[in-house]
Amino acid sequence: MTTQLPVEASVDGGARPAVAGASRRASLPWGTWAASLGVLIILVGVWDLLTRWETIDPIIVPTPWSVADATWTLMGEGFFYRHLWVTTAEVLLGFGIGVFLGCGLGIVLGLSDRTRRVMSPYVVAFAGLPKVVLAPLFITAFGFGMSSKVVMAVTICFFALLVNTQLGLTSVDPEARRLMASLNASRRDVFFKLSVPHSLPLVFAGMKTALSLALVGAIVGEFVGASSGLGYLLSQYSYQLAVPLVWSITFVLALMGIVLYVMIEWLDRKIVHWAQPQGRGSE
Amino acid sequence: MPRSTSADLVGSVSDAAHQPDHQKIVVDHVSKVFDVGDGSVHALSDLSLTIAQGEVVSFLGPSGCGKSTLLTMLAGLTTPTTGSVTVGGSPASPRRDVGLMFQRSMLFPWRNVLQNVLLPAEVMRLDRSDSRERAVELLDMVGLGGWEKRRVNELSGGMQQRVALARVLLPDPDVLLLDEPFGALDEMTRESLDLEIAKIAAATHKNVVMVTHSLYEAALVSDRIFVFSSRPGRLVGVVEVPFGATRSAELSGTPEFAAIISECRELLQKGHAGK
Repeated sequence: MTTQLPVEASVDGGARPAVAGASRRASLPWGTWAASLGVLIILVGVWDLLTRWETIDPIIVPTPWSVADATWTLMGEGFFYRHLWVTTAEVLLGFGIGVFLGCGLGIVLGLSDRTRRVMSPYVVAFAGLPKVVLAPLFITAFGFGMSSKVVMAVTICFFALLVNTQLGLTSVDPEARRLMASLNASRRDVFFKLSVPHSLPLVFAGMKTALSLALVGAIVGEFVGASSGLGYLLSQYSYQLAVPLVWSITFVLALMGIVLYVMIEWLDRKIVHWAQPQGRGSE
Repeated sequence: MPRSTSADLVGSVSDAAHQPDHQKIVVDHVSKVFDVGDGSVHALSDLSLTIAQGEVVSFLGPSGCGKSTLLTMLAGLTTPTTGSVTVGGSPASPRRDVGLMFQRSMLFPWRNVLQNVLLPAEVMRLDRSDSRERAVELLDMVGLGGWEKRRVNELSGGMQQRVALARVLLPDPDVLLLDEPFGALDEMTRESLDLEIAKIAAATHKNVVMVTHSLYEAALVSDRIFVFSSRPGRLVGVVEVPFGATRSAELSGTPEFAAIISECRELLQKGHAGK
């Protein structure tokens, strides 16, 4: 007797893999890109007109062309790259340490109900604290160099990872746990084969938030007390009323945020391939 | 690919055939009390039943009658407050020869179809290449040959349950515990999967215990139907289903089938009235 079972194609929607999937919305991005570019052109155009007619005081908002000119000059200066490097290093170090600490503490709190309950008042208190108030303390404690900014970045960003990691680990479907229990799975197997992959989408969401927060932390630290970094440079230009240069650095920082975000987004898509919108398959 | 025979897939048939009365599952004076907030709930009250080797049975009853709790006990995931549960002569525990399947497929979206079927093999540290071969054969058996590399969220609900069925069969358990396995599927898919379960059980002499609240499903697949009343869960009666091992949807048109359904219905009503 054979036990090959029939598949009722009409009921289950076909017995063989269909050629569905990956390129479903391949035609969309071009139009979207063009539209995004259009928005940029309109924004710059409006900006140009407002400054040209002096609707806005050009001392506060210079013309787009003077900002472009200032940016060009800045890019030609060697010291700009030194400041850029300092800030980038602070952000990446702060983010890296923040991810490490946030995930680590998140795992501790996520795995132990008891620890979570004991620690929860402190977690809530820390969550409510506007962490930028710590900047002067950190400058006092760690000096004017990079370390105080790294500490600031860590402090402001690790929390997003702590919360999301903990949330990921505690939101595992109880029935999935029962499945693993019925297979007599070890704690280790439950953690690595169920809890970790289940949590990854949330951890990556936390990383995206943490990245922009790390940038905020580093810049705030540089504002409060520093001798290098883009935040320091920006505040110097601001004192000198070199407004086009202030705008240049603002754009550089925005660009830095975008580049870092795109990198995380790329990693997210590679690693958490199963939680992506339909039609962007990993094939 | 050659068609797989039951003997290839499920190993040798145990000596059940020679001892038809061998008791595979024994539930002996079992009660279960859950503590909830400001009191306790009697999920099961002094319940005893035995299931013979190779039998297919259903636990039928309204929601909250403790039938799922009993199934969880058979899987060794819950312990009775009083009494004992033995499977194959030893106290119930999570182990290789007992497989549990749920109403939701509980497939892991980060694994493809084949990797999902292989989960028990990884957790139980079974031989890698043997398991892989067996997983491919099982997928073929449940009608999903060629779907090994697909992502599970590309599959329909019925297909996902087929994958879950292949997964639970992978370690070749003697006892299949099914907790409303097809309750979320449409009638047609559900019926075809019920018949597959009956077929697998008949071909491989496995025990099947299916929790359900569908009279039709219970009558279609079971050798015996245990009817439960709710809170506290008690056994109201047992209905014998004398259709033998070979089941088909045509059975449902017979007067005998109708008689079994109405017998179950009367028992359910009796259980409800007796509260």
